[in-house]
Amino acid sequence: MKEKSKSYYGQQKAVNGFIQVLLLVLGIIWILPLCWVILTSFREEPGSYTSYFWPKGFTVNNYVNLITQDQQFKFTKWFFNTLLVSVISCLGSTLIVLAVSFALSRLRFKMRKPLMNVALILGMFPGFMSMIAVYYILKGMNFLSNPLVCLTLVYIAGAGLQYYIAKGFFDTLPKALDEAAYLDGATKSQVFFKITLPLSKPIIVYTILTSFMAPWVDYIFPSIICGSEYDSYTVALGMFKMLEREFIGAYYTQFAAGAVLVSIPIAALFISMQKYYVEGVTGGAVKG
Amino acid sequence: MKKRIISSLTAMLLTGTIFTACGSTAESGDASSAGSGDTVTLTVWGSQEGQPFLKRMCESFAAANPDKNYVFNYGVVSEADAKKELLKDVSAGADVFGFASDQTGELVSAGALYRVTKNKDQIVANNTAPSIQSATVDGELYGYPYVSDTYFMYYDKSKFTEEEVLSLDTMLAKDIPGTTTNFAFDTDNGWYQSSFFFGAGCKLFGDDGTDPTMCDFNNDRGMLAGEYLIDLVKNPKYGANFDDGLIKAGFADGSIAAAVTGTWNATDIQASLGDNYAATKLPSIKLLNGEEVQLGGMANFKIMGVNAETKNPLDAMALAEWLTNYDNQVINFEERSLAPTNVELANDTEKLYSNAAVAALAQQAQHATVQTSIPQCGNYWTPAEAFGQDLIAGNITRDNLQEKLDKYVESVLSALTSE
Repeated sequence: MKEKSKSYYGQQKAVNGFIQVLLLVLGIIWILPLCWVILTSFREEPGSYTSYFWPKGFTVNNYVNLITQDQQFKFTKWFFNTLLVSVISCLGSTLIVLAVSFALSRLRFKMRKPLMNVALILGMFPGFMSMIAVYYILKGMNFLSNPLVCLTLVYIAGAGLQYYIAKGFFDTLPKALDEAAYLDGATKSQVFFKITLPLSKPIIVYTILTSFMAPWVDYIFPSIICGSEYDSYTVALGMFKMLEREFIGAYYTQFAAGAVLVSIPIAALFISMQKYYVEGVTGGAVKG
Repeated sequence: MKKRIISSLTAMLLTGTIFTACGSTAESGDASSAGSGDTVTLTVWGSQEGQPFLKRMCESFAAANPDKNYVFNYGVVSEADAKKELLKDVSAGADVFGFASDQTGELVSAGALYRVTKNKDQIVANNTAPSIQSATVDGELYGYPYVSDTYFMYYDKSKFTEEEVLSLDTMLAKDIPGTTTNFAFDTDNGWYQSSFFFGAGCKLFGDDGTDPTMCDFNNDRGMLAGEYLIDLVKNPKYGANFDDGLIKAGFADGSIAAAVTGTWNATDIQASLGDNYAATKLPSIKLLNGEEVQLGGMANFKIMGVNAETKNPLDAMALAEWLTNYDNQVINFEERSLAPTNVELANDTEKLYSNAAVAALAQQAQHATVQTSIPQCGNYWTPAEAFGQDLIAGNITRDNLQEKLDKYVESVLSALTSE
């Protein structure tokens, strides 16, 4: 009996050991490209390909040149362009998403169900299908000379469709709270701002994260809107230019430095809001 | 389709009326010789690295034409992106813009290019025949060529002599200590791969590159080229699929002795090789039937085009002509290392040979085939890539070569008819 249990534990240990090793290998495979980008960003010798992994020399000049030089690539300008667009559209679309979710979750009106169905179907079409149409609408409105305004507008205007998860979360909040507030004479907006929102921290965080990420990493839409307005490029669009065959040799290490810099705001945002993030994703799904 | 026809018709009508209107004002301006009140606004597109030069050239244009007041708007669109940006919205595009010659066909068929109606004969006479051909569709000139571009061979002077680089077989036979790759090029890239087929005498899209039903890579000449390629990829001293990154890394660590690429890598390779830096035309190869042929290649040009919907066609044409004239091609050559299309400059060997890469390009350009600009040429690259990958993987042998080449040609052409 004793021996049998021992071999059982031995077997268990072996299985666990195997799983640990497998996870370790997978972890290394996953982390390797990240390390490689970071190493490349500090690499002293230029060029896109090297036959060795560990750089021969280290330098911070890639970062310094990327930030200070704007002859060919205006990274700093693009970075702040993107930050501006992302922050403004993040604030705008967060507000809209939460308001739409609240309306669809709490208010009862005739077209509620049909509206939700339409939104669901519209949400299934990939966004880039309508891009050319959006381009011509913006052109008709004479906004094209200012691509950053266009981008912000479009990101905010398209936000309403992303209501599902937030609506699911609001559905889980007890209606009795709202009713108590209404009895005390609260208006709908007071209920929204003073009762629902304070109870919905996780979902607010989740919405902020997703609506910041989308403009920050978007490539297709800026590539249609920005056109020849070099000074108004976003960072994704501009960095892609660095990989053209004329520049890739000289700018590859700077490109890697740019990639590291671009990931900093997202990483910072995630780390600071991490503890609410998981709660938000799962919380909204309970009664989705 | 119908809508496009209508819109392009109206566009043509509109430009036509504007054209006549403009022509008459220009004439009256000439007559009174005091049109200094005319303000003409032109939007010009160029690549970012070319912006300072573009501005300089536009300013010199304004200075040379004091009878009008020119205002320039500059936009950043590289020659490679011109088609994409322009066709998105022709009316919002630049009046004058640079584009790569493989876009000519599609730009013309979309009605985006203004036919050259001013000084046409002069422009044709000033530029090399292939460059003019690349800007011509159905006998009409649609642009002003100003840069010629193709690939050629860089090599390490300490490893090969000037005689050795004339023949690929001599180069591959040589044992060079410390060098693992005697010769490298990007095998599965149709742009480079075509040099073997063109060298053997094959034609893509007919004699003048405009017949979408013709591709004879599977005839007996194509077989010879294919057999040579089979042997080549088996050779351990040959570097298959060396793209730009690998080539530059190889020159940097000395593992490559020679490689095929273009002027855009000149600075890096020169920095790696130092005094041993050299460039020349592609070598010749000895086919299995004993015949020695010079490797061909695909040549590209950069062309200045005028927007079909421009409001000032005469001024735009004058500017495009100015940007591509002798003096400005000299500036492009001397300060940006761009190879000229101007006949006078291209034949000025003394001047050209001050720049090894441009000289090699000019040499190789004589053997190169103009990259076709018919809209269907986009269908060539994928089958070429597949063929190259099959070659490297060793899936192609002498026994199945004919079959594979037939399939190659069939997919180039069938992709065309399905368009």
